[in-house]
Amino acid sequence: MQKDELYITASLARLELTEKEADNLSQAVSQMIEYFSMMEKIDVTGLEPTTHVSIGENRVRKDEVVESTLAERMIEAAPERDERFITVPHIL
Amino acid sequence: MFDVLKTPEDRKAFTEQVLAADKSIHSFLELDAEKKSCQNPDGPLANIPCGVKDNIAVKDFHLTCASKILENFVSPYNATAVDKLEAAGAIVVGKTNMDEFGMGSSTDFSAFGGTNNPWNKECVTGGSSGGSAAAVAAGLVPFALGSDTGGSIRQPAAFCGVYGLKPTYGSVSRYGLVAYASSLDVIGVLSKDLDLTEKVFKVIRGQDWHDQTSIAYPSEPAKPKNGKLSFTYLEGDLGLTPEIEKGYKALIQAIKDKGFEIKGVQVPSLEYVIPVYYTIATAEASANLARYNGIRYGHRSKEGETPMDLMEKSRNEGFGDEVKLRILLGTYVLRSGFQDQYYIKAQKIRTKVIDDFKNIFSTSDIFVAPAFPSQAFKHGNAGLTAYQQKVADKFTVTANLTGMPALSIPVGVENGLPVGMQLFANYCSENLLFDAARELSDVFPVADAPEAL
Amino acid sequence: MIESFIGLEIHIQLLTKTKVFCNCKNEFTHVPNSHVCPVCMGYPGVLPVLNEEAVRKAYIVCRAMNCHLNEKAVFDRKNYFYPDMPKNYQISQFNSPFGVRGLIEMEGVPKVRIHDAHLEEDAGKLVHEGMTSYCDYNRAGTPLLEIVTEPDFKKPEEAELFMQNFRKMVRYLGVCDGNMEEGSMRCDVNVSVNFEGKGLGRKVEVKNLNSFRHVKLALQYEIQRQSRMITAGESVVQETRLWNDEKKRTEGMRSKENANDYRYFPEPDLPPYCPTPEFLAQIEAAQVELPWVRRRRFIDQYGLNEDGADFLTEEKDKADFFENAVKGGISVANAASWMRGEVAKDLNKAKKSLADSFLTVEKFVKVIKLLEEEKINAQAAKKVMDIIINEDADPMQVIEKEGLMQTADSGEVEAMVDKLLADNAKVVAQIKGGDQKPIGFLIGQLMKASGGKADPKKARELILNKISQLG
Repeated sequence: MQKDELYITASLARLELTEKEADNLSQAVSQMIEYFSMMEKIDVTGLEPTTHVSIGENRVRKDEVVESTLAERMIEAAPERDERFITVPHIL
Repeated sequence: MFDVLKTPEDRKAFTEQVLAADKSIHSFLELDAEKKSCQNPDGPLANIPCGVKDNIAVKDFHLTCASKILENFVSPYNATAVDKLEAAGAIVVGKTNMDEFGMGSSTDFSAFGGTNNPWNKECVTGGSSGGSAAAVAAGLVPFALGSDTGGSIRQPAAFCGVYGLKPTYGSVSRYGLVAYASSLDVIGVLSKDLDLTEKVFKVIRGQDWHDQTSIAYPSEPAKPKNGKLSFTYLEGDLGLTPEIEKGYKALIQAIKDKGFEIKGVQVPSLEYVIPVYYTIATAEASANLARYNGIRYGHRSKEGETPMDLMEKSRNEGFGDEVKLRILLGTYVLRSGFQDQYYIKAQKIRTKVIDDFKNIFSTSDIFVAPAFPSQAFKHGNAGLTAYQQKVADKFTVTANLTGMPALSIPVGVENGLPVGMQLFANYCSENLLFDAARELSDVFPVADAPEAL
Repeated sequence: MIESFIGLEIHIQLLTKTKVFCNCKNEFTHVPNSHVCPVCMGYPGVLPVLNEEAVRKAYIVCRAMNCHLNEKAVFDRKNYFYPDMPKNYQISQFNSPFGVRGLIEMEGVPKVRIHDAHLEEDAGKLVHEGMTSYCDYNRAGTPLLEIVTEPDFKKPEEAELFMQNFRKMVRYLGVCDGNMEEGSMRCDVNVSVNFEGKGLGRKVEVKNLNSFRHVKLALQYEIQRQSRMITAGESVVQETRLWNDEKKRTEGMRSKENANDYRYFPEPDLPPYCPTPEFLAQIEAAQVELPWVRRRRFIDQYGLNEDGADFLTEEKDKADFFENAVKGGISVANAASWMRGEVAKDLNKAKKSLADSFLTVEKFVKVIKLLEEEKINAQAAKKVMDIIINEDADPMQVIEKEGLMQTADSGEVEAMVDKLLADNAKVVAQIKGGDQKPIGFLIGQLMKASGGKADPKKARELILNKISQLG
């Protein structure tokens, strides 16, 4: 894989790669992508993609409120917060 | 039978004893038998201590997935499987080591240091449920929960000489299992005791309201096609080490000796299941791991002036190299322009693999295959590279691609290391796997690792 | 000549008790991060659990827009990172949404083709202050239905009218409250211009439109901006812009936020949804006559003018009330004029809607019937109406209690008139002399003397008769 492709991919994945990491990873990624290209040879005419293996009947739940008791605990688990808000640096 | 945890003093003593025994193995990332007590003294698993892989939520225990990004994360809730274990009386004593987010075949990709194989500490335990396999093999707990996305229960079970069940996809709720690849992941059981393995499976399975991909398990057990179990095995050169080759032959012979029918088959799709598996698994993983961004919980970078910057730095500091590699691969195969060529193609081939296995199980009950082409390999450079490990997953990933159940069984010890094989069956036919394993258990009794408790 | 092409992307929050994938309350609250649970906070290990009511309401809208309903609807993950998105992917529908290829026809707007309607989850909210953004995930997981139209509008006014009618529709169907200011209904627009006959131009998307007026203003602004550009030989950049209401203009966003590749793929945590015949029958049963259809029918069937029809079809319960009242046997003219007049005035004064007032169709019909039968007069009817809107009272009892029934005893009234004429000989002489003006004075005096029970119309006749009899 070209390095610029790697950087585009990394930016979509929100991974900030250092130069060195990019060097190491681009090799490993290329090796796997090359391996994946083995799939080109397989004839899949007439086959539908499998997205789920355990499809039964429709699954839905009733529209009934169950209030979670974990809100406070989850707020406290946030690395940075201001009272009940979870905070991040301001978007410019 | 199990009364080691009845009193608080028992639990304290247990914790100390296991911590001491685990020093040279490092199968547990967190161990504290005093945190929980038996919820049901009359339950089928009353007072039985167990380990739970650290990607399965146990309330008030850490849930790190062996990643720095969740290093300090404590779960506020129980996985459904854990709820069910506790309701049956079992006691979770600790969280077991693993490859970060389940991504690896050695447990050396744990951010908190690898696990040593109780049979030979220079060797890996396999992975990613290596901590669970080692804890069970070392006799620290009678059973442990693991998770299996591409062989993560069966391969370490084989490396450590224990039973390892990868159930039918959806038969055990995934609620509380930290997702690696959602359409492949399943929670399963590792134990040296076959009956206990089955008992635990019966406790944890069942349709769950919290997991809409979970299935109602049939109440009637599956029956052998012709009144008696019939088997198939893989023909041809499978690229096995001599020890595994020997074990495979011994297994086939034992099946014949027991008077069961067994015939050879070829499964051409085995040659390309690895790219299919890694394409699908990494694609799903790239989305599943997007939630770790340092904002609501987990590791947050000290730097970062904008939210995007903060997310990127937190993720970069928190994830290990193998995880980054798989996220990048998964992101790449989903990108517009590449998706048809990789992701969609892989899903179509997945359909073909399913068809192949449905075919096999239309005429026989059990398909046998090695768990891995080799025995446990050595830690570090003396072992397999990350790439070699991935390519070697070809015997295990099929069960995840098809969603069918598989059971890893020990078939002996060669050169001081266990040899493990797998039994595969059709959907919801776990009982046939247990029946077959029981038939073979007198030929291949479980061996104890040296120094096992 | 320059042509413009306008498409709308409308988001409506569905009126459910709980969020779309968890059991947290789907309700606005001022307490940040209070309606949250591990699922809508994107915790490790949790899974989405689809809400049947969100599905039902989504299908009701799809059906109302004449969409083709996919046999197998599939949820997809839409991948992008944003601090208000707990999982950093949004569960949505892409390749096989609930509804596709719909069509809406209404007066004043060209036929509008619906590209698709898909169910998805809303994100949380960010409040910016100083160097910090404050994240509140209460809204995260609110069920949203996104409706995407084809670029079938030519003029901003058409898009505005469509939006107004669309809002009425979702309120008629009871699936959304349609409140644009509070964000329960949101609209992004896309617009392109080109020289006539050249087809679509380069599409610009405009977001941040919080009212129908913003929609119209932003479209007008964009069409002008883009037209100027192509006329000057420049090319329009395909981008997303934001409406700045203070400056009354659209503004480009930073290019980095524009570049995206959502990498949609099927959501493995949710099985596909296949509507059953029984379910579809329920959806069919939940359909209502759409507001613009009803408006036209009110004009045609009842002979109402446009204003009257607009007023009466604004809300479904109002239109139902009107039709039931007419069915109850009162005249169209009375039903319409009383609903637009006295009832609307009283409701407004009481700050109540028709639904949460005490007025029922039966009570309304009763009062108007008494009026039509001349058993009470208009003044009395107004008084009763005011009372039965604000109190749980029976109109007959009110009339009796207040003594509002017009007196049937003509002898009593005649005696009153005789006395009145005798007391006002000067005025009577004036009338006899041909000046009709003072008759109003006499009627007023009579009404006063009778305590409102006399019928003013009859009073006039009676007075004139008596005067002529005086000789």
